[in-house]
Amino acid sequence: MPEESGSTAELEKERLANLGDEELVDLFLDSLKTDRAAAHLYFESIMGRYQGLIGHIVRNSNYRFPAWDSADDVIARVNFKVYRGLALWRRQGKLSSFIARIATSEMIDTIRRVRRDKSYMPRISLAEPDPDMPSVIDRAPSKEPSPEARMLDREQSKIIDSLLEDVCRDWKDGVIVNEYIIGAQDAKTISAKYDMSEDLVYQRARRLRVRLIKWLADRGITSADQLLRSTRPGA
Amino acid sequence: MVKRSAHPDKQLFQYLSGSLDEQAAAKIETHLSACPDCAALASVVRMLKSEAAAAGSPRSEGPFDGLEASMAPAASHPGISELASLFYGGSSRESASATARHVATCESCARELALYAQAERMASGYEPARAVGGEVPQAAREMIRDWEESNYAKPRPEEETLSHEMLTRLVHLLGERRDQLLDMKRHVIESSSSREADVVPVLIIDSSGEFRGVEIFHREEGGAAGILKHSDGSGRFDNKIVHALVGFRDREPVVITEVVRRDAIELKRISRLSSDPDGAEYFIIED
Repeated sequence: MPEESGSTAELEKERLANLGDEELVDLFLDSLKTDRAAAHLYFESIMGRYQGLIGHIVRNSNYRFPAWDSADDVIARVNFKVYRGLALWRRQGKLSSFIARIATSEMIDTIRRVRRDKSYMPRISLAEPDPDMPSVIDRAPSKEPSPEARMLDREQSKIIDSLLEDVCRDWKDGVIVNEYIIGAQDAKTISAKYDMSEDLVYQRARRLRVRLIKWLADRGITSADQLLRSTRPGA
Repeated sequence: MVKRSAHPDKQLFQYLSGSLDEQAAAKIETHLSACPDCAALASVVRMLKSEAAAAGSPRSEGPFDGLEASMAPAASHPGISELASLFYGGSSRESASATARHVATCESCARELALYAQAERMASGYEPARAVGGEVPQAAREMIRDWEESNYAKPRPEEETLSHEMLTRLVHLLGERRDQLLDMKRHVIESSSSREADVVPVLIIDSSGEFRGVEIFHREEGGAAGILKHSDGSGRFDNKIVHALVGFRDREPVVITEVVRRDAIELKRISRLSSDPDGAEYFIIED
């Protein structure tokens, strides 16, 4: 029971604190069109519960945000996007999961923007270059492969695309091919990184192995050379 | 013939990564020379490794050390919503396969999926009732205020929106009355010696979508995309909503809404479109 000396605002705060997420979201959505001040109050009440989660996701990501786009900026944008997107919350999932998804997407968006920005940063040379010497650019070997090599690369990429699209069916398949089959990471590391059990890592890897062998067998392929030959024109 | 149970499982991948000792590696090599299935698999894995290396994602030790190191151009990565849909299971089968295929050889996208997995783990164990209450950051409050004060947050008034049925009816009506519109236009051009582009027939319909007539507006200079001025100058349509069905060569048509003021329609919104329209048909709903 609230104390008699509590102000109206405190009483209201306590009433809202006792409501469930769904009730609060309903109140928020209902009042958005009619009473914006009330909507803000409900939103504050909802988000008060989840600031800890947002902060945890953004600040514990082991990713350093640049000064021009700090973790605080990311957190502010997450709050704004939750405000705009609450109507899209499907009630069969937990609100925490919905908010975590928005927070992660915002974080990835920031990371991608930082990555793009970094790619434009020029490298600063400390020493003055000797104008008579060939420059670093002049001395660099050509990165362009020969036309034959390029054609082979294109063919290889096409085969890989087709093979992986047939074999990978969900995100777990994608990461197991990436981390376990290509990257040779151990199951324990993958399990911790992607929150799946070690057993599941092994089970998925076995299943992928079977699918890969079947894909090859269906095409009568027994070697990489044969794999490339099978897609060349006139093969 | 090699027995099925004898196929190396984990060890084959370890062998291909060079992490087996000499003795174990020799065993795998013996097996590969006798088993075409495993030999083909080994070839494919080598190809996958070379493809991933060519994509230029150097593998790093720390959990996020190499996140920004991917050399793959940003445009080639799936969008964030595609990645989120893949993780949360909202993609179609085709889309899931295509995105999962990208993840299979892209280290940075795999790391981004790891962020979703970690966030989901935090969310599932999070107990809001026990959490220390926090506040919405001031910066977020300001973003919300700015957004609400802009037009984007406000629902359009009912009279400015067209239902799907009404839109279908309008398109149908346009097809039906095309000859009549063209005849009227031709007649006005001949009688007033106006340029064809300056004569704009506007279809008048009632709120149930029934045809009521055609009014001629003339294009005049002014505003970014010009002004359409009602020819008879009666002020009959003042403050009425006019809808323009704007067509494009390379995308779906859009509906733009303006208001008639002092017998004129200023085409402000059309001028703000990101690509050039191919043409527009105008409608006024009048009961």
